Amino acid sequence: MSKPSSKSKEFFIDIDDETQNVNQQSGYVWEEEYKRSWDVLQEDEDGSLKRSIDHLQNRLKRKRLLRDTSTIRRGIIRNMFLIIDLSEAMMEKDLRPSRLDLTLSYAEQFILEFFDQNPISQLGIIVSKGGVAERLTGLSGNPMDNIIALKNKKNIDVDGEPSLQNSLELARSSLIHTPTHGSREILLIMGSLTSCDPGDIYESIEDLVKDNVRVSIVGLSAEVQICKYICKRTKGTYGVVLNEAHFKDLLFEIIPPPPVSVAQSNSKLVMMGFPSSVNQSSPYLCACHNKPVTSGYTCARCNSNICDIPTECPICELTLVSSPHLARSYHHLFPVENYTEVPWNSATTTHCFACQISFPSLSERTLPKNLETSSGRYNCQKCNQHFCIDCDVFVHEAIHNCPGCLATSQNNLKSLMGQVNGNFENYENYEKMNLS
Amino acid sequence: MSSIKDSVTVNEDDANLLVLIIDTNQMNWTKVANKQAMGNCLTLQQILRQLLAFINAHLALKHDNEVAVIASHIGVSKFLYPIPTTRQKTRRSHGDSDQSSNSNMYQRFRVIDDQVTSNMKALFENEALKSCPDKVSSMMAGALSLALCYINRITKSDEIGHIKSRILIISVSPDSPYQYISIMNCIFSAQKLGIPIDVCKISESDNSVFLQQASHITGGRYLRLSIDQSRGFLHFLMKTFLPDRFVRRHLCLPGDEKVDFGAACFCHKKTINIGYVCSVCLSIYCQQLEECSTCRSKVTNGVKRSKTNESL
Amino acid sequence: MPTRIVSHFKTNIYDYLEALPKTTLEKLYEEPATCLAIFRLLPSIARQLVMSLLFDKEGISKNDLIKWIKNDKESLDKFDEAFDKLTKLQMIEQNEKLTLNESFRYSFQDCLTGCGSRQSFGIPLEKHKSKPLDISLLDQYAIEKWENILHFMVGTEKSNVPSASVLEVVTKANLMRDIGGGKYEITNKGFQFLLQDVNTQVWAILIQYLDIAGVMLNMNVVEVLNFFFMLGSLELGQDYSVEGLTPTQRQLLDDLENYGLAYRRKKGSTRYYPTRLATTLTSGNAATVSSNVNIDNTDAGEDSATEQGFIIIETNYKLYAYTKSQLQISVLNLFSELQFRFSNMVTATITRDSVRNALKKGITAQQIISYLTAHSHPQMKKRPSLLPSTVKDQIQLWEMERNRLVVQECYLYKDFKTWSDYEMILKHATKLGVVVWSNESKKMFGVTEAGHEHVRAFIKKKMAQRKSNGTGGNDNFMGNGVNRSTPIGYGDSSNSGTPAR
Repeated sequence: MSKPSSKSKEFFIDIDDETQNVNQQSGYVWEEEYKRSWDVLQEDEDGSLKRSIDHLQNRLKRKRLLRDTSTIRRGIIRNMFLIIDLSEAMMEKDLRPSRLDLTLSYAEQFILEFFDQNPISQLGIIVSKGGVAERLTGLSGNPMDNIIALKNKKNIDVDGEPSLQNSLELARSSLIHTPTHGSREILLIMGSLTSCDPGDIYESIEDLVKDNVRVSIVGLSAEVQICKYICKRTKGTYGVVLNEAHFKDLLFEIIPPPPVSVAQSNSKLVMMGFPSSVNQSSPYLCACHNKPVTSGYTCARCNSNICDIPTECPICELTLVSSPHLARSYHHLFPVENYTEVPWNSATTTHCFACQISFPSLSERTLPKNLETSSGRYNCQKCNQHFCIDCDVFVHEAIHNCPGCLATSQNNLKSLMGQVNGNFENYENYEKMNLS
Repeated sequence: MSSIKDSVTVNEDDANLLVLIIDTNQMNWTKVANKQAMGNCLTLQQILRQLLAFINAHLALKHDNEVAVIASHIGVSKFLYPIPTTRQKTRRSHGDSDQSSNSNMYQRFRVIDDQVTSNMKALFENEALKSCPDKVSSMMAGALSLALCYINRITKSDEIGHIKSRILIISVSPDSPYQYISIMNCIFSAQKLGIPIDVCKISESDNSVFLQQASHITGGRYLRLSIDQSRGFLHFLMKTFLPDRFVRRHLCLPGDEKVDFGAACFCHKKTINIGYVCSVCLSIYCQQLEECSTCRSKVTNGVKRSKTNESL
Repeated sequence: MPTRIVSHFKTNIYDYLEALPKTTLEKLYEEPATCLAIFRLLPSIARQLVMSLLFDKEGISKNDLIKWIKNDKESLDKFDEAFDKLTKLQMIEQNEKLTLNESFRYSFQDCLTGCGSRQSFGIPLEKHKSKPLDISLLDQYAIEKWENILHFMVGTEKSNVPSASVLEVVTKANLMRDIGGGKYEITNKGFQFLLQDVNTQVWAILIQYLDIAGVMLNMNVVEVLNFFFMLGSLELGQDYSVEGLTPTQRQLLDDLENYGLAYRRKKGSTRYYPTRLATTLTSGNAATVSSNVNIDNTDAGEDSATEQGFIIIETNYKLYAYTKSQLQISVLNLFSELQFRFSNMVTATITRDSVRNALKKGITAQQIISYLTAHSHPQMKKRPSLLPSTVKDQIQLWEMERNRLVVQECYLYKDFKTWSDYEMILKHATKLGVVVWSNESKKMFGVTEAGHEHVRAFIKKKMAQRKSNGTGGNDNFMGNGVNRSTPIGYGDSSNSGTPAR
């Protein structure tokens, strides 16, 4: 289970609307002032570009972080279909090495990360080519099944044109059998500008809306009107990629659980089993793959032998999980609040609270041409501690805990859960967890 | 989900960063001292001395080994070493001890030992902390988060992948239930980064469930020492927790038992095999309820998916 | 991830220490600094074993110890290797149970806990007397002195002739040869020496010094070694007093100044400053790597251009070296052709001729490759394999070209009249095991020098037999050539196969 290494992130200097003080008119894009990407870089006194590049890199890092962190209800149990377009348009080489290769490698990373963040969810893969849609794998909770299917060369031939309606219908027909407490989602990676459909796609879209399916689309070539319409109707997201890094960002934006509207969020008590592990000296057959194993789990309800959890028992269809799996999803429910940037007048601290790295001092305040750099300090509203940008990114993307709040006694213990407000009142129940 | 056991390649030549988290809750240490047989007096001071010898042993293994020490205290957790330079310099000029001890000890050991002891003294003398409401447990989650941020910084600044880190926790306090979610978050991020968390728990009978899960999931070692066994504290440390990630592969170390995590229901606290999980807040119950007591959302009985009789 | 090359200097010191008698080692173990330094030389499992036995008075039986190791081949091999090393260094003693050597145990415990009174980590001067020196000055001094010696070996005009004691060590180590008239010439071993990393070079010189010191200068080897290891544990930039040093060690200090390991403001001053060469004696390549990881916010030390990697190699055999040091450029000149020189960089190409020149001087391909790997720019380290495999393989191929032919002298037997004669003599010679080569169609075979006499005697005997039997009657049954045996080069393409006579 590998996390995509941040070292391999490509660095593209984007023109932010922040750098250029342009009044956004509500006109057409070509009417705005021309953006010169080379103006963004400026030299300092010694002629080196280092400081302005550092400045830009820091800004990029933070851009990814600023997402919504209010505590709202989210669909933790997810059922998702990944639809991949295998038309001839995917053989274009505008994304290196080719659209198809890049899609497949990102899809693999997506699957791993998806199951890492949402362990009790299920994912299936559908491909669309030659005017028909074909299901590669059904909804399953095991990432390896999906990855093996993607790696199988026979499955990924390109041919003809994709069919939006067929693939959406196929996904919908599988998704309507899932229980209502889980969210139903479709992620569609579309490289072609055309679609070959047998009937009226608007009818299919209405069916999707009726069945509460959310469709998100990532387009690889250009914005297509029908895709935009689908996403708008089903309350999904539509994005068209600019470059390889942007493609990955768009894909990974789908990974955190989506917010769920209050009407849908009456909770269901889902029956789940917590199996105990079994170790035997002589091998026995597992029920899921019919392969001999010596260690595994026994289903809590029907006592059949399972290799690995989380999964659904193949005999009695009970969802089997262990408590750490549930714990993995807690950070979606209680996200850490975003840190705010500290202006130079309040920049009194010298070192980051979490990693002890030293902050830039007042003498490094400005770049030449009098552009202000950031003070490098980021403040947590609750504990008022300053952190450096690496810790900021790390806290929000990896640990999901604020070290300042946890490590200082200014907050009394009840307000440790001050990350939670409103919706979750009886937090003491969490204290009774797992203390056997 | 199986734990990652060193999926990162570890070489013999790598430097090792050991982050030591010490539970410095004085109340619990005094309890431990009181429970001992007459004549043995394992106080916090003695433990500290043995820990310093252990730290020196770790640094002696390789020239470029590094160490960081974090104290998990009542109400606060802080770095004891390394502390950034400005504060360091003032500490050094105070009462730098006489020449003879300077030349009898390797300079590096000396600097680190001095800093740790003086910072810990300052921590104990800090009056403001004595007014904290909860004196039973210590701020383990905060210490773990600080440790992970520090390791993240060191790993990022080391470009050739030459430093490998691990965490060792010396704990004597019981688990604080409020910290469950935070500790689990830290455990999962440690697992992703491939950092093993070793735990040495000094307690007569209780096992710390959170810390057991921590070492199991991250591939570290969990060792519980009874009060009597803790007389040989340094010995246990040297044998079990000193080997670095490379050497561990070749040794059979204690603390490798499989831990079974049963779930406990919220309403009765009993261990259950089959339970009902609220789809909104993921709390576990042993029977069907009208309303989830944690998130106060009404339970609707929608279409039941499986047609079998679900009563047990 | 490429492993760093750390072990060369370790094996040098290691072999030296193993050869010492037990009493010397016991004396060495009385100093905690020495114990620490020797401890760090051990392989990692050995270090772990020492640590676990350190506070154990009673010891442990070997079987119990083996149970601690995992039961797969690799682990058990490592354990055997570690145990072997420990016994050779007399660290582990086998009575009924295995224990650590007593004096080592106590000294090492002192080292870890700071007790003890041997003052073996150097006596730093007190605050009010101390005058700390700028680290860059020390570095400059060290580089100047050390490179002077190396420049002298390479033969650049810049060099001054080093002092007599240095020359003596260098000649005794067979790095340079005295060709009379006060002039010296570098040997093959000297070339190899130039390509090694600084730590290995320093230790090679020091070990040679030890050899001389023990025999000729009547210095106490134990004290000399103790001083070396103590130097390895000192801090850069701090001044130390000469009070605790024995007379031997004070003399040693004077000599070490010549190598750039210690600095004194004037001769006979009571304080000395160790340089970077000294403080990194026992730390492997830590001087080059730790500058990347800036853990405490103090500057871990500036890296001199000679320590950090500066070579970039492309797959088209072009080499770019970001250095201004004359020495490094001369070393590069040994095996590559320099092309352009810029203010901060030198470009060169690795060609067949340049590598062959180096090979002729006695440098091996492996040394060239290790030199390039050790000095490669950090940029290169980001590639999956450090050196381009084309370059690496090609250098090895060029070396193997020189080994394509093996020359062996032998005596050639030819012009046999009958097949049976040929076969009989060949069988006899093969039984003696002296046949080097044979060719059935041409009825020839070659015999080693040693075997030549035996075969000739056998032939004469056979001839005498036939004469006395009266068969055939032909005296020269072997035709012409029976006594014509000439040494020829076997298989050498420059000589043909016909006998010269």
